[in-house]
Amino acid sequence: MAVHPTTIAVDDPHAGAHGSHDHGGDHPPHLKHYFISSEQQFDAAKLGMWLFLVTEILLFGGMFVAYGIYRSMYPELFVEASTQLNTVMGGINTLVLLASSLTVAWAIRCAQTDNQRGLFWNLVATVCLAGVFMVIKYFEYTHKFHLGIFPGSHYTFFAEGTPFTLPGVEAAAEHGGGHHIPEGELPLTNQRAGLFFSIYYVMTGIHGIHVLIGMIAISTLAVKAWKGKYSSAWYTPVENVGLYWHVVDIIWIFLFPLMYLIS
Amino acid sequence: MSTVATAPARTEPVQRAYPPGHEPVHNYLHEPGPGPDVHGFQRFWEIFKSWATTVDHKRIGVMYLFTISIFFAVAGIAALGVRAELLAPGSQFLTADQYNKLFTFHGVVMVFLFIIPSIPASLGNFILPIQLGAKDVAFPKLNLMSYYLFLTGASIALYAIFSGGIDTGWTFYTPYSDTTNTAVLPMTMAVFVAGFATILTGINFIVTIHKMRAPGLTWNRLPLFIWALYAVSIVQILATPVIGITMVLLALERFIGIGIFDPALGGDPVLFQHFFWFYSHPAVYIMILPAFGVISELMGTFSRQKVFGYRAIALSSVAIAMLGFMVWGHHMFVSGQSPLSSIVFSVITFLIGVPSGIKILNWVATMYKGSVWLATPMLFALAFLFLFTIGGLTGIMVGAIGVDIHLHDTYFVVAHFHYVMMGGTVFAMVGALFYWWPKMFGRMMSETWGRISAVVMFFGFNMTFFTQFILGSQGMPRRYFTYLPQYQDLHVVSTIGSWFLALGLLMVLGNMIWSLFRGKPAPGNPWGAATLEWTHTTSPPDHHNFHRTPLVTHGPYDYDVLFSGDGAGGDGAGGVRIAGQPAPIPDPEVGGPQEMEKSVDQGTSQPDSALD
Amino acid sequence: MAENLHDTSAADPADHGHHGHHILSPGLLLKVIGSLAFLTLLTVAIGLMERKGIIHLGGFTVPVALGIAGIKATLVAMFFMGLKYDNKVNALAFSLSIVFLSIFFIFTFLDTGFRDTFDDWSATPIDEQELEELRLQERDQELQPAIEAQPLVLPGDTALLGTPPTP
Repeated sequence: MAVHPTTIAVDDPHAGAHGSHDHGGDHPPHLKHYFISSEQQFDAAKLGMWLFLVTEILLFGGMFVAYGIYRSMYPELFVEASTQLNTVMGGINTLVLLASSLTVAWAIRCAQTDNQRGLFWNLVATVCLAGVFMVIKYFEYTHKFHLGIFPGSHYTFFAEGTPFTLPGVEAAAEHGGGHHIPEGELPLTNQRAGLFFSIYYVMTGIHGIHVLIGMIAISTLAVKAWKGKYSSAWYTPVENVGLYWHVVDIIWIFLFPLMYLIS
Repeated sequence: MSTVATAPARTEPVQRAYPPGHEPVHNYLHEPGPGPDVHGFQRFWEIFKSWATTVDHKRIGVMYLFTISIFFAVAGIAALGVRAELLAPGSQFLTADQYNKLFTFHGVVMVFLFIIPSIPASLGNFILPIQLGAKDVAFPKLNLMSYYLFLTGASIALYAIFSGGIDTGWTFYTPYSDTTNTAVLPMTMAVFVAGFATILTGINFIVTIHKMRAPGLTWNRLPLFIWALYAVSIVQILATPVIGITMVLLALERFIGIGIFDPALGGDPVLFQHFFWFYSHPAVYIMILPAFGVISELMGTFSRQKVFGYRAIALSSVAIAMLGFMVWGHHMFVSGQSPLSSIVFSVITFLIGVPSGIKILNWVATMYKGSVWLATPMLFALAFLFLFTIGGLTGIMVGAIGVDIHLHDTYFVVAHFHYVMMGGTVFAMVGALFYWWPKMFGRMMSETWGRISAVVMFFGFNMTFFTQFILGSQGMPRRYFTYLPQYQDLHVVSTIGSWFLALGLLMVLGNMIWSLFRGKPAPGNPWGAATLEWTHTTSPPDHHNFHRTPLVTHGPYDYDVLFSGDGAGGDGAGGVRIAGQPAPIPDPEVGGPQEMEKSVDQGTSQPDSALD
Repeated sequence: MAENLHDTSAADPADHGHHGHHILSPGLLLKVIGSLAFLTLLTVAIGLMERKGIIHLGGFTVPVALGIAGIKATLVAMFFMGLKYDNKVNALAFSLSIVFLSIFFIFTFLDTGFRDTFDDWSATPIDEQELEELRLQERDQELQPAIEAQPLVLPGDTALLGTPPTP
């Protein structure tokens, strides 16, 4: 049997000053000492990000399951309540988010081709598009609050003579009764309307929080890109935040038809 | 990806101050830390700072071990209190309300703060990168963050428990949890935050296993402990987000009344149970799968034989992880779910028995015609085999719908899951501690007292919980403060058993503390194991784990290659080397503490004695 | 589960099998965003037409809407997120999340969608249930003397457990 070498020389961990990890030589500055190559470090970071995205999908997935179960239980509720959502605003928001996905993808392309100006301006454009999304969302929300369309027990936008059999809903409706209904608005006649809007507010609300987090992350990237921190040699944060942003987009791609386009 | 040290030919020999095998060891327990000239409070402060801000996976593992041990002790004392109260019907020294809070405290702390992080976060964190031949996990800072998130979650949970307590049980079932006045809101937040810690550990492990294996360490050569941790991490990543969103929905329900689970507002409370158990049943596998990994290691090492059916054991871990997601409804047979789903869930529950049985049969086959060395870790592994088999088979019994409707919420179920959780996970964890303690702290624990404690724990455990099978089948309901007089004799037996169990655990604790100060310095490979943490590094390991990245040329249980004259012979380049010296080869035929101590005396231990 | 059980080395190209970082061309990026915008308008058009009664998809409403959304999500994942050119492990992780989400939904739906199967107890009016309850209580009272005459613990049990039978 051949002799097995059981150790091979790669590098001496104690070659540098002990306790500090800035090894000299051919190690690029961003390469952590416990990785062997930039490629390994990039792959590891990316796989880690994908696994995190898996947890994000299952987090939203729980809410999609609740949505699916209740839609199968009360189909007529979903058809009626969906008419309260503004399809035009929702559609514009979909296009806005898709455009922001494009700018992020383009930003990564710029980083890969060492186009510093392009990277910066694409990131700025992404933050602006996300801002437009949030402003439109704000108008949608405030309009509903104005009508008394709140989640769960706070929902009061019922038509006259809506039949109540659920004790919790009836108490809430009486408590918030006498609400003024503006011209041209159609109040709902289904006593479970609050349930639909609970799901709507929780799903779009948690999605909105993710958009806000994404805006903060992308703004940070933009500042660092302005300082020229990223290049084709190292742009892992841009890549990973980009992946996160695309998942936020994908979730909205499903939310839009499921919430706004029910018939 | 060509730069992962593919061949020695690529690199010129590096100029070193020390010849190979004679490098100074930077003991991770002391370095980084203050120099010898720092004294007094300054010294204490610098040691504390170097531990609190460490990103070294070994130190984080030790910190986790220390923290969860405290939770285990506290929750264990609560269990002793519960057992003492049940010595006789009626009130002994607790009121009914205090009793309810005490067993809720025991359950919540044991489940969320001890068992779920137990083996993966402490031993897994310590051992996994070394077994892979890596210098650290893939994301060391996330690893530290995970520890602090766990501490934060634990603090919130303790705040919830002590600020009035919580009376929903650990399951938080709606609609009661919507309406009770106890501290449900902080508890949901605690579970949410602790869940983040679990997710970060899971991501870290999977990425490390995929991307940071040493050259030559193929999937077929991964130690089975790694395979088990891989399966566990998959479960953690897929299941934990769902408990996160469930807790958010429950908190919003209490906070603003969204009513998704509230029947008064048109919601469905059974849907909450689906959400809860979609996480919490896989969480049972988060608790037991790492124990399976430990047992595989122990069976191989102490039978001095290649683990039988390596691939079957590895893939059955993954199979259990996957099937575990499709059986949660067996907790809900009496909840009013549809009979169709009860039948489907029951059938798939039986299927889980297949991969579990594969494991047990393979472990037994590993011992067959091996040279079984009955050292302390092996005694715990054998106890595990016995206890887990009982726990698993009774699990099949309560997985049958008709039987479950009779036994639901009786002591039978209590006994069943204690046989799995305590008899399975805790026995495996204590065995693993005896096994890896020399590696972690560089000191041997006492073999004699270790064996005695194993026997006492085994005896006490069965006395405590086997009686509860009988009590349950006679109809004693769980979570009851008092009981009919005809149950008293068995309750007394069970309580006395719990004292023996506690005595055994105290012996283990005393053994650990004794070993830290008086234990013999451990050689690099006291058990003659063949995985990288034993063959390629010192006890305790260097700050950077290895001086040179190991090159793996054999499987994790190829004892014949490692310890044959052929492998260890030649010019000394092959075979097992510890700090440059050929490793002592324990002879399993006459193996035992005497032989082991002899090899220690021969001066094969590392020059820096640990913990001086 | 592993991406490759048979690779011979951690440094094997199979494990890290991608060919440098793929750079998307501007033409491809524009084609993808064009398709995404078109599909968005298509799904809005279908939704509005159905609401106004111009077309009737019947049971296919949800599958069509989800199908279009699925195509859009696939386009984003394949090109914008680079899964098409990336390490296969990432795609595996992504698809695992979809698989387990489906498991979650299907098994929950097995309960909520089939509650009325086998024994339609939930459809029994509450007053009939109460009458049945009353009937059972009367029967209990009739049988009570017989139950009290019988010890709770039989002599065999006493021998086993040493517990005196207490009525």
